[in-house]
Amino acid sequence: MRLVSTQRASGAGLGARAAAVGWQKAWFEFNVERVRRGEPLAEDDRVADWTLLLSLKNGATSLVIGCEWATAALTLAMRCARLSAVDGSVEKIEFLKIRAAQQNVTNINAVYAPPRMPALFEGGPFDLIVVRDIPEGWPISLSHLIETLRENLKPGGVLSVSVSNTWCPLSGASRSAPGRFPENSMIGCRRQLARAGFDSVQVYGPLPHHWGVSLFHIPLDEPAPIGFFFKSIFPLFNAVSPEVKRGFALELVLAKIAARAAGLPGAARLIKYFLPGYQFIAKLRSQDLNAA
Amino acid sequence: MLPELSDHLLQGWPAFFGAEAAPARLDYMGLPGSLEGGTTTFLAFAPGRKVPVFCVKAHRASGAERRAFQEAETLNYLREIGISGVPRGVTHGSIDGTAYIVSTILPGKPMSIVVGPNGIPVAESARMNFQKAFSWLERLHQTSRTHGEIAAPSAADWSLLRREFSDAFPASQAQAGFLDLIGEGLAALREGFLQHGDYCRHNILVSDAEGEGALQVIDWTDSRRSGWPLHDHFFFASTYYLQARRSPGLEGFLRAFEDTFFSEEPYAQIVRAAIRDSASRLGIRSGLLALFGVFLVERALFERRQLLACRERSGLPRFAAYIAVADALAFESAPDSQLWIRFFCEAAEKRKLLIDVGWGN
Repeated sequence: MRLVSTQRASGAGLGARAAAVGWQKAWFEFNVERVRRGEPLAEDDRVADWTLLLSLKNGATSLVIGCEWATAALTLAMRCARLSAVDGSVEKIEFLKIRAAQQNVTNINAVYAPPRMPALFEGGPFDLIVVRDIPEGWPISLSHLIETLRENLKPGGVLSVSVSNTWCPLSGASRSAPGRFPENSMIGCRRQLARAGFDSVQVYGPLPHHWGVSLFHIPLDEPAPIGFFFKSIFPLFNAVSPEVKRGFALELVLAKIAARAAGLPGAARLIKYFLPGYQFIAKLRSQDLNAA
Repeated sequence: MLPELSDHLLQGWPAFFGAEAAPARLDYMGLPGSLEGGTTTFLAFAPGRKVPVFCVKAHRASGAERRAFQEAETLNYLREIGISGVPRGVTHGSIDGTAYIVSTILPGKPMSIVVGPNGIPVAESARMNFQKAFSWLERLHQTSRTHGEIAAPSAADWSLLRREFSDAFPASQAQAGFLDLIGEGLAALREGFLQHGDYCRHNILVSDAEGEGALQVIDWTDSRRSGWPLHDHFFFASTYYLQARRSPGLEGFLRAFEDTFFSEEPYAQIVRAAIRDSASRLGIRSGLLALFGVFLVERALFERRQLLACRERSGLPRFAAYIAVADALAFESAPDSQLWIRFFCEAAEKRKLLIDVGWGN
């Protein structure tokens, strides 16, 4: 049986193909076409692993901005009462809807992003807001984003936002990353979140990058995990397959430099400021002091 | 899920971790699990401590509680019979539909490998690693034997396996002949072995300790209390330098397999002798080829099941997609034409060499 290729690597037609033959087959063909072109897989189950870091109470409602190829949104939907998803890609929204229908996930409301970011999102306020990829035309300023999304969160709600690091030597490469991410330093992000009323902030360094499938999620609030990563985990990369070495050639070189630097006294505490990007998981104060 | 788990562990800390002081909070580092393995791992760090306090393995698919329970049971059994160098299962369960197991962290670094300029493992280093790895397995089996007989898989088990294999992978004449030979060789089997299931270099930690403490073995997710003998020996040998091979792609994998079992080079001679000698010390003096064959059959079916599950849930892993491109495979047939069935076919074609070196029935 010959391989059927009906989609460009961008996903055009993926939704229609998924509706016709089932999402699994359409997804297989889509990814095989990507591999044929030398591109990585669009995503896989591992893209949702980080969601285990979240606590979602019964009846929680969520908003996902930038649903990628549906895996993380569906995973979250299965743990929530209701999930709203917004994306600037018609193909991604279509594919999410079809996957949800075929997987009997009925609590997702997926919409194509309007030209302007709304002040208030339909279905809010939410217990959780996840920002992975900002639609074209929406403001990319982190402060604007945080201020707007704060108004869409319940008191005590959680915001998860992926940010490109302006201090990273790879920041030029980050700009060619698939998707739009706000840019800031780790210190700057923390300051803005605190100003906006988020008083419990966890920061993670997703490696090798903060989009798509992150292979490692390193907590950065204490120095020990990143020191442990470079001392004990990273050396294992000498043993990875030639395919992985090719796929992450630049990242591996930089990580080797970082691993050597991490051996210097105090260096592990500094390396975290230069990672390619971050994921912040921040909890809004339970009492909105601004309303007082 | 992890915040709820933290609350549970911190509240009951003395029961889980004894006299060790409970930390104020826990931070989790996410590590990659393979897509096809179906699990993801988090290392828990406590403020002020340089090494993780424990490890959490979470299953991605819903309904995996049985797998987590099985792993916990195996770890408990190993500790009961006095096997050191394995994690202690702390607790297991399910939160929000995610099955998990919490276990202790073991010291050491994954067994390393030295590859020569020809891209093949250096013989002497390989000899030492194989000796360490197989000594550990011998101790495991000898100890488990003293605690009760492990029933051997039966002729009926082989028949079922063969039928499933033949349904999934249509066999050539050479391959059918190999399957017949396997059945004949298994007829004399009297004993089963406790099986780790993923006994590869990455799951074997080497520390500076002497004697029995030198090796620690982690990740018992795919363990079985009763399996075909020498499965772990063959898996260790088959995977020993797969990740360290120089040649990329499918050709690289096949060459590594051939260089491990069917070459005249010193490395292959060491591998064949190490397996033969360890088997002999475990009381298996014939039927190595049959056991090798059933190992390959099991791995091919295991890989197929994993890939079918991946494809159903979220898509094939990258290497499977790569093979689909290389072989122009469609959706329906992609899980049937992966790595281990090719290893089986290679072994079926070249089994005479193994017979000639004493692996025959």
